Amino acid sequence: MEAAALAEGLEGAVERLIPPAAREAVLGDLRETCSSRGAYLREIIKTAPFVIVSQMLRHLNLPVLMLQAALIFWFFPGWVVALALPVLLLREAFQPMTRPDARAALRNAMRLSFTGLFLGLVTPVPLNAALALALLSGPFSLLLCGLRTGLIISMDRCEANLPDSMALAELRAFRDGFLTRLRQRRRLEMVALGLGALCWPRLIEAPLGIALGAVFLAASLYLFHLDMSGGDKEPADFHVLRRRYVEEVRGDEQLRRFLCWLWVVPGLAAAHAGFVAMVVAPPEQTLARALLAVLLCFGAGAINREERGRVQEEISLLDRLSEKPSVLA
Amino acid sequence: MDALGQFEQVVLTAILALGADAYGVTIHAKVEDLSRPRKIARGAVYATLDRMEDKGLIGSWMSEPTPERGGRSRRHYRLEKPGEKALRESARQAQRLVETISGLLGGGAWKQPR
Repeated sequence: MEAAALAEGLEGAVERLIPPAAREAVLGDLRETCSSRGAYLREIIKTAPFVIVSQMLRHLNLPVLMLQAALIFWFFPGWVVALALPVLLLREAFQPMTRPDARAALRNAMRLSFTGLFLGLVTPVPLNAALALALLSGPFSLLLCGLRTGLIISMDRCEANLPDSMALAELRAFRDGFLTRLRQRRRLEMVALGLGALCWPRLIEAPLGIALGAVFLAASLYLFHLDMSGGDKEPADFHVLRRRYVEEVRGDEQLRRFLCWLWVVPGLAAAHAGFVAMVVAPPEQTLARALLAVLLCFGAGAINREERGRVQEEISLLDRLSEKPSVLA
Repeated sequence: MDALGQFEQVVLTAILALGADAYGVTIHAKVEDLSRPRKIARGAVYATLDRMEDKGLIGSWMSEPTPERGGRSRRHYRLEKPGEKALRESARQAQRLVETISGLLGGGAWKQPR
């Protein structure tokens, strides 16, 4: 019984080597062809490297990756960039295809919260900033997870409204609507980033302010470039159009995720540079800075994670979308 | 459009030959058959399918889940217009090679060496 449970656990772990976007088709194929469990697991291990690299290339958005690398390079030493790039690529390849579950988020929050509180209470060290932070982490993590759960529930209200089948003209109209909304939003973001590029060198001390301004300017120019590039000729085939639509949705989501993090950076810089010192007295400054940084990072991370879940769900629905014969045909 | 690689030609031919029944398992089997005596890694077929789908040479869709696949769906592939065009061009090029080699070495050039 235990051995069987272990084998199932192992099987589940090995299956996770296949990125979610390809998991269903690849594991189904292997299940269909492999006669024994051993052969199935061996075949997964042999196939996984190809599929992982393929999915990494498929999800690669080079400009976004370069902007991320520039940001990491500024804050960390060069070897961190070398380490972070493969991690970022793997993260893209392994993004889940479903929305996060609000209940699971709350459950994890409770566990984390009570563990933090318990550890804080039983650790016999003198009260200092680190311990205070540990003691605070219990109720604080509950607060953060309350925020995250709220986000998940609010995102759940945004139904991925796609039927099982569509005619070519319907899909074209659907995509056109998406592109129009995308263009409007990107123009606003472009202006906001441009303003940010002008403001940060004045508000944040050099050289960080200048570097931040440069990254904001690069991001704004990139959005300008996207806005100006008219796009290729519209495909006349349903499957090609659907494929292109999926690529556009995915590319936009990657860009938005990066921009979300980009907007957090000035907040972190302000916290680091002493904004907190103006509001809080010296002994609690370290704690306040840490809390502000965690709040900012958690907020950006949660928004990105939930938004990504919604987009992945839309992509997987698009993947299953079949062509309906046109009424005019 | 870039010229097709040799392995891409084989995979596209397999999809063309299989028609509506083209999905991972059958494509891999057909590719192995076409590439005899070479053994082909299944992962290489998946990577090539992904690449060709991104190039717009092939399209894919998911079928209904089936019990023999552990309740998982199949990803079916089909040749798109650009894929058809690229495959025709490759075939024409191969034909020219065959004619040139036959002209130089004679009709027996295709016999297996002893």
